[in-house]
Amino acid sequence: MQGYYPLFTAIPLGMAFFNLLAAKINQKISDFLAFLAMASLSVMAVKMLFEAPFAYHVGGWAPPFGILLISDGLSSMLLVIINVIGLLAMIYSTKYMDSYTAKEKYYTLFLLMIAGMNGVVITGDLFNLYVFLEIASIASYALVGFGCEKNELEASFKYLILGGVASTLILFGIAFLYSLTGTLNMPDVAIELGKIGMNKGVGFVMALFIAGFGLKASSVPFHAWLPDAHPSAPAPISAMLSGVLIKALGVYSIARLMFHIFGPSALVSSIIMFLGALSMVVGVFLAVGQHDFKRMLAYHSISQMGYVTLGIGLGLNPNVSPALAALALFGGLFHMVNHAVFKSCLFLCSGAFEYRTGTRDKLKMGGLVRKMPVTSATCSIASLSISGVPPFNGFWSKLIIIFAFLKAGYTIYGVLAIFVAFMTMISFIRLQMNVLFGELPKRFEKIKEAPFLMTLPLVVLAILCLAIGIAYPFIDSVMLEAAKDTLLDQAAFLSFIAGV
Amino acid sequence: MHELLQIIVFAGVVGIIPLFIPRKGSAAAGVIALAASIWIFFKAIRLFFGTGEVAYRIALFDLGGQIPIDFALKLTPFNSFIIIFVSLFGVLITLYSLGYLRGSDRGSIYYSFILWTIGAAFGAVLADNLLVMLIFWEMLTAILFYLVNMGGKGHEKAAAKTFTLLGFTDASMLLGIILIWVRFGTVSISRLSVMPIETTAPVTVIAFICLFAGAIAKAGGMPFHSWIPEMAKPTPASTIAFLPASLDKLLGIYLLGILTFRIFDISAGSPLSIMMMIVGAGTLLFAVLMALIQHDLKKLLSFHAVSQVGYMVLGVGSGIPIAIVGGLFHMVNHAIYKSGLFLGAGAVEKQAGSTDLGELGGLARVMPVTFVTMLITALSISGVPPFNGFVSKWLVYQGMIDGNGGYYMIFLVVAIFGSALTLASFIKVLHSIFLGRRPAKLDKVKEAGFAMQLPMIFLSILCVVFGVFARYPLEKIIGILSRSNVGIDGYSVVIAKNGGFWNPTLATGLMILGILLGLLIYAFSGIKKKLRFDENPWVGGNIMDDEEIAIPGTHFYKTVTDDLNPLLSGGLRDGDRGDYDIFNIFGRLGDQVVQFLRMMHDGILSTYLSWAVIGLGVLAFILMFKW
Repeated sequence: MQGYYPLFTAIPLGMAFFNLLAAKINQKISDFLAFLAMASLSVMAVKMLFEAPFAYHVGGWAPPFGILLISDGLSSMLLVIINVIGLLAMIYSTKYMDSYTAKEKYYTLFLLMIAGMNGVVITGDLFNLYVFLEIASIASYALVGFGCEKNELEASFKYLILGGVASTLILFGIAFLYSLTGTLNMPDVAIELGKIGMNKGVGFVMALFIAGFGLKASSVPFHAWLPDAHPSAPAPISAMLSGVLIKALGVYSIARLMFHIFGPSALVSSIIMFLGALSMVVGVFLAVGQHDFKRMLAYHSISQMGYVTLGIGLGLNPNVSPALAALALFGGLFHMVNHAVFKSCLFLCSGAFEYRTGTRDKLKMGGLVRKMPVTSATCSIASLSISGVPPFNGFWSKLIIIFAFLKAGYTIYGVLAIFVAFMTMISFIRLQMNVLFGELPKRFEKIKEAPFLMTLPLVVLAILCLAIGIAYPFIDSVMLEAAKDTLLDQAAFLSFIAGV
Repeated sequence: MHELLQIIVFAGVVGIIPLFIPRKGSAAAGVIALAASIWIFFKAIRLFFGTGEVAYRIALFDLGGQIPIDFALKLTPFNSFIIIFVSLFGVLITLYSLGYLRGSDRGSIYYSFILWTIGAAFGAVLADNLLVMLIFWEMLTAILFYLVNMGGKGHEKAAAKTFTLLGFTDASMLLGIILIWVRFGTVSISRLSVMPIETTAPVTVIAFICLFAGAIAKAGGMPFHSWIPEMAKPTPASTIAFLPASLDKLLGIYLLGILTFRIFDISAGSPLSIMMMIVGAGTLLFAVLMALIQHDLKKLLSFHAVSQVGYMVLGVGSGIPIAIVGGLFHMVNHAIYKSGLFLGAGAVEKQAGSTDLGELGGLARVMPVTFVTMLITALSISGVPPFNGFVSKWLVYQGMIDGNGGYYMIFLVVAIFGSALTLASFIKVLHSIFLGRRPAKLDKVKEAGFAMQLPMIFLSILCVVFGVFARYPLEKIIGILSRSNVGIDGYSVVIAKNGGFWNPTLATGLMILGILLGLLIYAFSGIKKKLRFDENPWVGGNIMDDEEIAIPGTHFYKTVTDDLNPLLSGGLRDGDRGDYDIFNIFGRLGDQVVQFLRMMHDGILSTYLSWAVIGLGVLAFILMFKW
């Protein structure tokens, strides 16, 4: 597999443009090619899970001067999320995007976004990280405004401005770091930083990175673009943005940089935990009051990413016992995977409901369980997952995070995490009450179940919710070990360059 | 597979089958569910009479060696006693549903949920680990949500309220469990039961209260009771007879028992014990007052379902052995008569088409079986001897008399007063439905089908059996308690010690003798000839028609809300509107927060940008100068 590693960016990048040509011949071919690209990427991503960590030197040029690609547990995990969710969103799109024009341009943007995210995850080089981040971001700006309606364009514009600010901050950070260390290769930067130690410059770089990637990950107070942008995009793109993009660009990058380049520190840990807790609470309160189906889901993304950040934050704390830090970190990462599954399922459900009923207002729907049983069942399962009801997957990851925090003595954060889980539950009870149950409005008497190509991804994701939840007790120790090995062990990361 | 695990897995797997049966074949799904529940019932009987304690333990996960969690199931005398009732109600409700749901458009999935409920209840009761218990406990909450959602008009709001209130207490249980975990290093019930767990440290007290909230919310005690009255009206009678009326009582009080006499050491007269007794007494008094003023049969019954929990919490929470026996016995009795009452209500609803007391009347002649079964169960719940409700209430009263302190007398008075009000309320029920004049539109009402009658008959027979032959279940309960932390002697010693002990069999014999004597006097004294029956009542020479002389049962206790005492009647009216409902109060509070946050998000880009810039500034300051 090692030799094929660059294909994770090459395939979607190439197909993005080739697809445009193919669409000139026949739209069906274009559909098929896009599907083929995503399918092959998913297969490769799943295979990567079983690979030992390795470093890949592009063109055989040795680091720190050549381009370095790295593969470890964290990047493999993200690759699976990006490409598998991407495949399902792609399958969903083939039917859903019929109601839009210029489907082949949509595929191009979609594949560009995938290429960017894959690039961010596999690269071992800060500047490449920035470049891929921009590719993914710019594609996503265009996708948010893809409907070209008034609201969509406004949302896209807000997203563009705040995303641009984020990119600028990140670029500044990289530039400062370059001036401090003289290199852009990640392991090399880490080694150089180890020699310099901590000073005001490094502190400023960290602030730039936390703010910049915080904007990408949309943690409060950097969250304001997300509730506009995510609902405005077409449903499969909302699923990709909430389910994948904020993780790959935001949380992954923070984790990678903080653990492997800057190293654990108590101050950064408490800042990140605070941001996580704030996102968790603010996001959930905003979500409870929402009537717009997708906007509510978007606020929940902020809130759920708060859990992930919280877990990563405690993992960064050098003062708690390593086993506990590993547990919290694992909880955070596991929740990230779970969130990708249930949140993309929910967004795709919202799309299916919108496709049939033509509205996103929860209060205008009702009783849909009678007319759209499959979509409703999957929506229900995903709702239970995100609310943390056993035996679905969300329960376990929240349990681990809550346990780690109470055990580590952060009682307030632990209690808040429980409280937010309860608030999330309320919000999804209300969602089910308004959308699935109750009286069916007269004008929906004749609607049908969503088309097969749209329900298939939903069913797959709902089964995943249940399967991960039931399988969790059996794979718990394996996953925990993997999380511990990849992130908490900085030496292993540095060996990516030492082996040259 | 281990026999304990087998039952749970069996219920879970068989529950999948109805999902594939189309809506039209839901009777087939019902038959499958019935067969499965009967099999589970026999399994439960075998476990009950089996030899001693059976345990099943498999490492679930160890959270990286932090704290190992076992998937532990353990059969103890206490939970084998509970599961036998869980599975019995499973059989009865499935059978009843076959008749009750005939012709309705509820799909086969209903039976899936019933089977999963049985499986999850087994899991929760058999669990020897609080976390495993919580997992099944939450599953039950979620399943109940979907069962309520199969109801009639207004079901979605009721279901949401149910899930919200129970979800809140499930979350508080999670907190309690993790606090125990952090402090004592284990959540295994059998390991905790041999540890001395003092209830003086704040952490332990908080953990106890968190878990207690979970127990009483499930059972339906105040202040988490309001989901039961809310869901009563729209929910199918079979569901409400199964979950809130019987299963949730068994589970909630089982957990309360586990807490009070297995895990925590709570002695009589300790602050926590008094807190529980206040909750119990308050529940039984306020709920029965609310029940008095209800006009809907199912809603009225649901307030009694809340009120009766008061006796159980009062008994179990008091820490006095005889009252604990009474509380636990009341749990069983309540499950029996209250599900019987709800099944009767369902029969009335199905046959007469309404549960509004104002629209019913005179059904005794056309629905004799329903009338007799409801009469027996109503007398049971009202605590009339010789039925089972009296025996358990009597034990609770005795416990209060045994109590060491003057305030126990207050609890005693409240308990007896509550029982009297219950009787008053059921006189209204029986009169409004079965007695009096029958409205013209109910002329064609017929008796319910056999599948519905059978469970009702069975439950009312149980009411009599458990009342007249109370010795056997009581011996069993005392046997359970003698093996726990509660100091209690064997049955015969208890009888000898307590002078006022009710000897049900003897008393019943005397009562029957008295009634026979009365009948004999009636037959031979010639009173019969002096009685006069007038066909048409008249006033001032005018013959009055049925409508004019009808005495509506709904007017019985109107004075309570109208002009009794401004404080009480005003309070009851507010209570009926939901002003004291914890669900509404916190809902309003939450709305305030939401409104504030929404006001901050004004949609203007420069506001959002300024947040990001301020955020960056603060971060930079902290990271550069606070290092």
